[in-house]
Amino acid sequence: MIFENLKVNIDEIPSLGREDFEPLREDYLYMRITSKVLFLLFAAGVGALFSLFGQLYFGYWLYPILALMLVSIIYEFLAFKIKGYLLRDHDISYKTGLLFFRQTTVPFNRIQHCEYNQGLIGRLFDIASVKVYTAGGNTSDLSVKGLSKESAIKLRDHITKLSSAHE
Amino acid sequence: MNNLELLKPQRQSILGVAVIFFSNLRKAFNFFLAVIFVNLGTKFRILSLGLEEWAYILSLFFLVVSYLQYLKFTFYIKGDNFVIEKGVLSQEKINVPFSRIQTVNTSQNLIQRILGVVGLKIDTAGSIQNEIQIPALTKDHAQQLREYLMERKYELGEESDTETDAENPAEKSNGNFKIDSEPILELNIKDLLLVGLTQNHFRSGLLLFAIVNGYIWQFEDYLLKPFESYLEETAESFLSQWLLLLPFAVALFLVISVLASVVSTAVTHFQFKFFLGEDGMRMNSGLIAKNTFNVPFGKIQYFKWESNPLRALIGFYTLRVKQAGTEAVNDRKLISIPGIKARSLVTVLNKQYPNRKDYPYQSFQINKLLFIQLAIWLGFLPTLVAVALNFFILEMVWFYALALVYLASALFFSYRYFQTYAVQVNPDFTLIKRGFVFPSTLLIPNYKLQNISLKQSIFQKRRGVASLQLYSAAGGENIVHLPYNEADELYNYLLFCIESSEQKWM
Repeated sequence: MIFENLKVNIDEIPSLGREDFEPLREDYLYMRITSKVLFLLFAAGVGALFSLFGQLYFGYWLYPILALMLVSIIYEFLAFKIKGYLLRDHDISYKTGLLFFRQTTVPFNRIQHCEYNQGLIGRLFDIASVKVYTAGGNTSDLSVKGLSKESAIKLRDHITKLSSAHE
Repeated sequence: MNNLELLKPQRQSILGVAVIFFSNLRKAFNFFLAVIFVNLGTKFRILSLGLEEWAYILSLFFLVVSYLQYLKFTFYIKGDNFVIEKGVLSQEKINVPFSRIQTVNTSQNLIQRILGVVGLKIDTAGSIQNEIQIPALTKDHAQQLREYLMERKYELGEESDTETDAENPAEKSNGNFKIDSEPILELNIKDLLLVGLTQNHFRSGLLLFAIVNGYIWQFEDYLLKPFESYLEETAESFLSQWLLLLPFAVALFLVISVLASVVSTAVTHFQFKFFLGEDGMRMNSGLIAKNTFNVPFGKIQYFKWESNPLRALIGFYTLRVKQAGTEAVNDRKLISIPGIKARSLVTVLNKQYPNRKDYPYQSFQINKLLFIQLAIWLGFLPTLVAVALNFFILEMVWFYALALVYLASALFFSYRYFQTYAVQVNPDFTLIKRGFVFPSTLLIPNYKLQNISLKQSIFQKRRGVASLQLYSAAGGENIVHLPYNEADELYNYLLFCIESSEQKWM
């Protein structure tokens, strides 16, 4: 036990375990891989142009891009297992990061506003995200990614309702 | 309630034309500085008009523009909003809901002081436009408007959360809080000199260097071209003598830095007075621009106090008062009180946080990974690079001794930094102490936190440690390399503190 002499017993404080988190939709993984592959294909296209009309040896771009593609696909698969969100009575949490793990929790009574986002590629995969803002910053403090559009809207409404109850 | 007549659009004092005019003129002067500078003394003609004629024409033009800007600048109240409309060509309308107003401050720059008007600044939590300012109001008017705005703000606050206000009756009168007539801290010229002399000179020197450097590059063509041939000739001999010149350059840099910090301290903190009242604090200071800051206690997110070896000698601290705001706005909103003695510091802390010692603090021990990382990045890596460079290029024997001395001192300071890093938590507060040469302490009430992150890199994972990042409305603070289970428990505990708190945090 680390806390002694405190107002409450440490065992009564709800603890947030990494295993409690909800995994994200698998489509989110495919969406990320698709967007990475698209980007690399674009880079390959640029390289191909140089090879076709210039003097660039095609191996200079083809092999690095293939290697990058392989590495990023493996990375995405591994990193996807880490990602997850957790909705509790009083807060919302999100965890991510394979090499640099990061887990953030925002209590509902500190949320200023909350928004729902869906990108272009997200529309193809039915993937949306919910961003949560607290006071004082321009950047969003937490964004829950990899939800379906329906559940993202539900989540946003839920958070908005709970956070406005505190004002 | 007052004779402000704010329901219909109002203009500021007619002197506002002059204030706007001079601010426009200054901007124009900065813009044309290079042109003026280069053509000084030479024959300058555009459209057969000389420099002076152009200056008159432009001034007249700016006078007209300023008058139009003055005419178009109106402010009024609509419902629960304070509205400012401005802009000649493109109209801008700024809506400030009363509930978003954090504080209302007054300021006076040189022109405003000569004309006897004050500028009114409205601080928001940073979620609205960057800066909301009325450039020129008569003193009485500004005072009335300030009081009125704060009154409205708290009326609104009471309606929406009567319960919390009943618990903290102090919150109600926040709008026009009473201030003790005697300042708790007053800096006279001698104090200012001491504060200036014990400034972090390295930083002010670099700042000055950056500013001067920026100007030089901007006008490089004009400033350096005439000397180019001379510079090229001397450059070679210069390089061979750099070892001799280096100490002089360092000495010159030091002297200029010290001067810069003394002058800037004296100018910004001239006649510094710091008042403490029932519900908030107030600061007056400034030689050229006079500023008044009002900070209600409820708006303070947390305190941070710092020192350095020179300041420690004369027992001065710098107290920083962190208010809500975005990082970018924060610099201007960051209120710091230089040259505060330990006794006054304790008075301020006792006033703001009387309950800070109600419960014992629990200490957390940082993992020695911090020392290892500092030793690698500040000690071993630079030494290795320098030694390698010396081995291949310079080949000076005495250099190795120097490298060894550097390494030893880097290791010493890294170890001391690691040793002085302390984290203490009780049910109401988190206290973080950092720094050996530049010690700083910060005290955050747990309920002021907004969200918490736990971070763990693969290096940390191997050692079973994790870092915590605590975010408040005034920015984030780090706690590095706690043992994982302690970090996890602290994370859960602080979340519990936030979620179980009913106090208003903003």
